[in-house]
Amino acid sequence: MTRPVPNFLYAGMLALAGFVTASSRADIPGPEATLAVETLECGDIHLQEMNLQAEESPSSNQYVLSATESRIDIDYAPARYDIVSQPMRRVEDRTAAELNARFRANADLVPFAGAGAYRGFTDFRSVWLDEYYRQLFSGVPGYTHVAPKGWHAMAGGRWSYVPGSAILQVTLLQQGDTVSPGYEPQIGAPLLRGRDHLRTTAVRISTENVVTPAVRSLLEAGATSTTGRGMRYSLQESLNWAVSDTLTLRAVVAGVHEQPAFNAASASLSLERDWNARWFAGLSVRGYRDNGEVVDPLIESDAAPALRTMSVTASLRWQGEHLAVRLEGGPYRTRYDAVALSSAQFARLYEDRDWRRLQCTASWKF
Amino acid sequence: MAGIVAGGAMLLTGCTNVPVWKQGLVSKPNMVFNDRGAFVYGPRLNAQIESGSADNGGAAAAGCTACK
Repeated sequence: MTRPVPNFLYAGMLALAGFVTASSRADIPGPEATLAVETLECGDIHLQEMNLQAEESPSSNQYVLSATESRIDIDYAPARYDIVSQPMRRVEDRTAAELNARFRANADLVPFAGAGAYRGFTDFRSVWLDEYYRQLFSGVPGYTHVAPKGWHAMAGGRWSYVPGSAILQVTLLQQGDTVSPGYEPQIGAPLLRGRDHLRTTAVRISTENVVTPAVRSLLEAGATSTTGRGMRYSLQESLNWAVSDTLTLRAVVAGVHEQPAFNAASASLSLERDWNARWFAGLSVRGYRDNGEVVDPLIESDAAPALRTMSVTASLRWQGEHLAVRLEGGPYRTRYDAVALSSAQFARLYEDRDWRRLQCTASWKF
Repeated sequence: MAGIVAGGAMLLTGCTNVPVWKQGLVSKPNMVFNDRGAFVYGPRLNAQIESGSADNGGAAAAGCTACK
């Protein structure tokens, strides 16, 4: 099936061309703009996202306005034994906007705050499930169409507790989401409808340190509470090591635990070589695994089984005086454990897939 | 517990002050932890698949709205 390139990608390419051909004004400090376009696709799923950020720093404060347009394009396919549902192509767009501000209280303390909102599905799995329940229950008492949307607000502070060498950051986040829920048929009664409003409260603490003249470290810890789910705790350590004047090694290790029994871990390693801090070429390997969200395999559930992923990414970037451009991409492999027999209707959603990823970013400092 | 130990160790490590004039290597653009611009590392779309990504929460982590 031929998929037309969405308008926002054309707009993105035009804006990118504008950045590249914009006139140079080396002597004037001013705002910065960044455009990022990313695609992730396999045979039946195409995901695209374009993000445009504008940064302005009047006086000592800093304001960042961000707009995101993303598209989820899937070929929905029901289970082979499903004689009710039909294959169908679904295309869903998502629009999001966000404003963040940093205020310099003094040399060592930077309070910050931000807020944003979006309209549209946040991920392809929820589009697939929305189509599954729509085809199965549309018109049945208890079924209601939902248009997903959400908002978030956050505030925090950044404190240089060892000026120039160590930073502590605390962020508090509130988030509200309206999601497309699942349904369960009942005998002699309307459908039992799942939760469609979610509220999330999160706290994140991070500390960034210059450990040695060649090593910079970032440790991030978080706790997240979402309506109807157990507490989620996360811990991530990122380490950047300048192996030599031109070689940089980056490592990231992360772990997540969500009550009662969900666990996930990921690790990545990147090696990058630069030429006079102008050209950068790198290669990254990343692996991820979790133990799935299925609580009882004997009961029907649309939750994901255990997942393992692996990606390899090659990157090339150029850093100029005003313009910085990065291009990266590579294969991404996702492998699920077998779906339980009781939930076989979701086997097409949780198929093993081989994806291709491409990301292009350009920043222009005016 | 591991997090507390790691966090404490990192905070203490931060107390070893590396003077600014020795920070040439750690100040290179690909050594800094950016949250915007052309030196932000890592994919954004993979989070749609990996529900256990460290920064996932809210709707993005709650695709299984009918999970039982």
